[in-house]
Amino acid sequence: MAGSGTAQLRDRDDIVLRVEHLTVEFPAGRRARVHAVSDVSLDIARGETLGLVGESGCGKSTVARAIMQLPPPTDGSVRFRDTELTRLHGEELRRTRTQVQMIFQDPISSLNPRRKVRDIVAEGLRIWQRNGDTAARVDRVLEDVGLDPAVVADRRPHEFSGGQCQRICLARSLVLDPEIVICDEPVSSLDVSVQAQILNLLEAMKSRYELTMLFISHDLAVVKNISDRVAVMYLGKLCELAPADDLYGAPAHPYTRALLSSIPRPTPGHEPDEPGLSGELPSPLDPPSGCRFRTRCPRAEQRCAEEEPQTRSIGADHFVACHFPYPRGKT
Amino acid sequence: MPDSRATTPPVVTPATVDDSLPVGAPEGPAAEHAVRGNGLDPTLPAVLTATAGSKRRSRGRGVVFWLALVWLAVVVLVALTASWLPLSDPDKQDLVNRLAPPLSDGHVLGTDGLGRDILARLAFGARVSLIISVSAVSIGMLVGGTIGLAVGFFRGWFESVTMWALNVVLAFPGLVLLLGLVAFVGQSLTAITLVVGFLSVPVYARVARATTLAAAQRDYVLAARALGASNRRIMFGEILPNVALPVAAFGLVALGVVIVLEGSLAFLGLSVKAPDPTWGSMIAEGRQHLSTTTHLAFIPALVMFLTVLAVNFVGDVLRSRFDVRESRL
Amino acid sequence: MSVRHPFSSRSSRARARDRDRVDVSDHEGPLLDVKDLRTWFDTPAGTVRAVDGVSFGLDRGRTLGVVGESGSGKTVLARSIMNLLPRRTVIPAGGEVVFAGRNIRGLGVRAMGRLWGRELAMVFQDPMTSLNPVVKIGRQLTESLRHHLHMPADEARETAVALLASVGLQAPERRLQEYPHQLSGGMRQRVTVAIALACGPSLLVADEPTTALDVTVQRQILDLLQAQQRDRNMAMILVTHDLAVVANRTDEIVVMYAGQVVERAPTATLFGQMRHPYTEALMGSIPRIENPSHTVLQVIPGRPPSPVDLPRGCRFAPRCRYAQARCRDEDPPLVEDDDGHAYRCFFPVGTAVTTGNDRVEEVGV
Repeated sequence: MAGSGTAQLRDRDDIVLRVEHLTVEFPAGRRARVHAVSDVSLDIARGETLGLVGESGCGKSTVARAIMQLPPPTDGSVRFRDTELTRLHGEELRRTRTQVQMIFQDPISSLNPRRKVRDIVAEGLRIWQRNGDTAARVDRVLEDVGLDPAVVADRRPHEFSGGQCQRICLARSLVLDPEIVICDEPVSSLDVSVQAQILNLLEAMKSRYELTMLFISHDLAVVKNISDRVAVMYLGKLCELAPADDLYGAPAHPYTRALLSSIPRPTPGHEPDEPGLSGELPSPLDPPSGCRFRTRCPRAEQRCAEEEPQTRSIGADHFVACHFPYPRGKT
Repeated sequence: MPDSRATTPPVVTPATVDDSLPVGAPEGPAAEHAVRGNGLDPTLPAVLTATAGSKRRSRGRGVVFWLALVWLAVVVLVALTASWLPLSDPDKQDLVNRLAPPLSDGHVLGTDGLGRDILARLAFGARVSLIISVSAVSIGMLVGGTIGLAVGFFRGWFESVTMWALNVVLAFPGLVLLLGLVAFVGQSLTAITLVVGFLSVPVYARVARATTLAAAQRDYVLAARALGASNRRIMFGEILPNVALPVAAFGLVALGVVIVLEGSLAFLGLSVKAPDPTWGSMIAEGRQHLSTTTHLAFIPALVMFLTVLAVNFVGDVLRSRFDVRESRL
Repeated sequence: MSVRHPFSSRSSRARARDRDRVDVSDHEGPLLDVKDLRTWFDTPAGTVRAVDGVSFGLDRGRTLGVVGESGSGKTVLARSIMNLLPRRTVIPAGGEVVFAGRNIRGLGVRAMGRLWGRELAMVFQDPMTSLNPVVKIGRQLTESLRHHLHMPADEARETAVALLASVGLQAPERRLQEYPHQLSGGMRQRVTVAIALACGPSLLVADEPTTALDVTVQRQILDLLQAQQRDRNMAMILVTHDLAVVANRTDEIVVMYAGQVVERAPTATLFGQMRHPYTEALMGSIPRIENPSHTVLQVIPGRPPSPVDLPRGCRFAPRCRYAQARCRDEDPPLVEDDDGHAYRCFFPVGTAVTTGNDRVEEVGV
């Protein structure tokens, strides 16, 4: 699994974000390079939520940052509406980027501890000097995310809980009315009950602000809950992409299956379908040839080492990059 | 377990969620963490680490703090208003009454080897100590802090070259420079202040650079970029507020060090020229008479000691007050 | 049944060592009996009642799950059992921790030093900070063996290699010479498990051992813990915030909220019928794989109470959807029914109760 290919890109009018052959590599010492993201392609249509899952080292966060050009990717194209982001620079890039906002995993460290909430949330407006009443907009967006401006605006982030900080982060992102919001593990560091609040809030904000979302997480249940389509990554490559219910109902890629079977279920007596994943994650400095998952794959054969699998369609909007995927219909 | 819950749950709109302020620690499974910046295990609940210190220390503002503050206020006031206070002329010699002990007639703290009033000399000497320490530290903080901020933010070859230059300055024997300068310019307060300030720049630059490097990694800087902030805006709006405090804390410690430094320089004859009084030169002069009249050296030394101690105490409390706010329980 | 120490050779030295051990094998009754445990902290903000009256028993060979969110007191509970609390700010507020018939609460460091590692072991959440980053793995492993079991260096080394192999690490001899940062998160956690199990403890406390790990690694580590527990007939306490983790890996579960036990039951019983509204709400707020996408999650409004300012009456009442006036006035006691199911609620879910108007209703349908 883990392959290249663009079969999964759709030809529709309402594609808001289109990422093609995205590659991000970092130098690591002499002559070595970390292959964080290798030839990943995906797209998101207006109003859709694409979930991106994978474990540590799969490159999902790197994809998010590369989309935002923070820093720009080593190779590949990122099209936001009709604009090629990789070709923008300086102020033009900064201006366009306001339409693609991001919220991060640790809500508390995403907020400057020395600034007041009001200033933090108003920052976007102040930079671009929008006409109109900044204070009123700030108050409105704070109310939208469930905070009382009178209580919250003049305080500093350390006075708030993780869930409240995440709300502030969301308010900051929404104040500029972005088109796309990328959520990079926004609930991973929150308690379960707060997690539910924030997830519901994200859904509510998505409909109120008419957003398109890219939701990144390692928690498969959370991703399923919030996404329309889900993409699975492993070691910098895309494994599988399908509508959420399809992916979880009939996973085709061996890695997806292993991942799903490892999720603990809150049902006593539940037996996992598959044996767990064995072995260790290969080093991104020197990923395996051909399919990067082959070293841990129960279905790997010689072909997997020689030829890298390209993504192909195996059903309605269901794409997989594997030479020997599980057939659909297998439980 | 029926899943009917999934289809008819009570819909809780965001606005009804409680947003009162928590007095508790930040939450989250992997982030059941405690304080930032004091190196404690971030996975421990705050209650186990924020309370690790003794109770009294965490209250901080005890009697000692107020005493220290009062002492500093007195020193500063006296230094500022020395000309108008009913003190004797610090330069007036009274050879008849030389080496008078404290509490003599007309001289509360006695007189020195030339009959000059010690109290008056202390008051005017305070000026020198304060001016040198405050100015030198300010120069160091402003210049060094800015360099460190720029270097830590922009990095690249700019950083390499600058840090190399700073290391050269740091390695430079300051005394040699001072001696040379004194020979060239004379023993003026300005010269000494500038040299001490200049020599301390690398240290502040390092502190500022380290803090900047850490702050630049944080997600809020990334968020600011995402909002379209320019480099300048990020540097001064996001990073500077976080760097200023550690640099200032460092400066507070340095204040005391420079006061003592002046004393050492006086011993080498490198401080402000006689007959202008400085605490250091008073101690140096008192050294000659140490076997017979100890109060000459002892009194200015005591005053210097108390002042530096007070600066350190006050600095400690101020520092912990600003840091503690981030780690409330 | 005597405690099997799988890796010691049966030399006369080993036999002499075994004689010195605290002998838990002949002890009758539960291995661990926690009685009304209270751990309070003295802080500038007031007295924090982190653990406020927790009781349970645990037999050898059984696993207890302790479930709760941040601030529930579960980590402080784990450390109280292990006696790993900062001495200066802890108020000894009462309760007993009876281990193999002996109350170890409040024992000094020297006495506990004989138990730690030997009979009581702990695995922590973040292997990066629970392993010493500047000491090689081998030394961290053999330390315990040499200190408690007085093993000579070569025997300790062999035992360490066997231990690393038993926790599933490849090339164990090489690992001995490596430093923690050279291993992945999963591998490091395996090492901490190996260190914890080195001397064959009878009780293992695992405090969120997999929270910081990926889900596939999480499964590996939990499987490992379960297998080791079976082989060694250990008692295990698994502390976590994740109900799903405890569902299939524990015999009994304790749910904590604001320092108290709000529900305690054998695992199947608990999931079969949750009685406490908090447990029910917690369950409802977890996204489930089985549910379709975009299922609205049940939310528990508000936030846990501040530990220095606990509300009068039931501590969950301010957030409880079934709360009545009585809940706000009186503190409900923990009552146990016939199935061994204990809960702290006046109006438990799924039971018929009389309300103020003398109407009988079913709570929480």
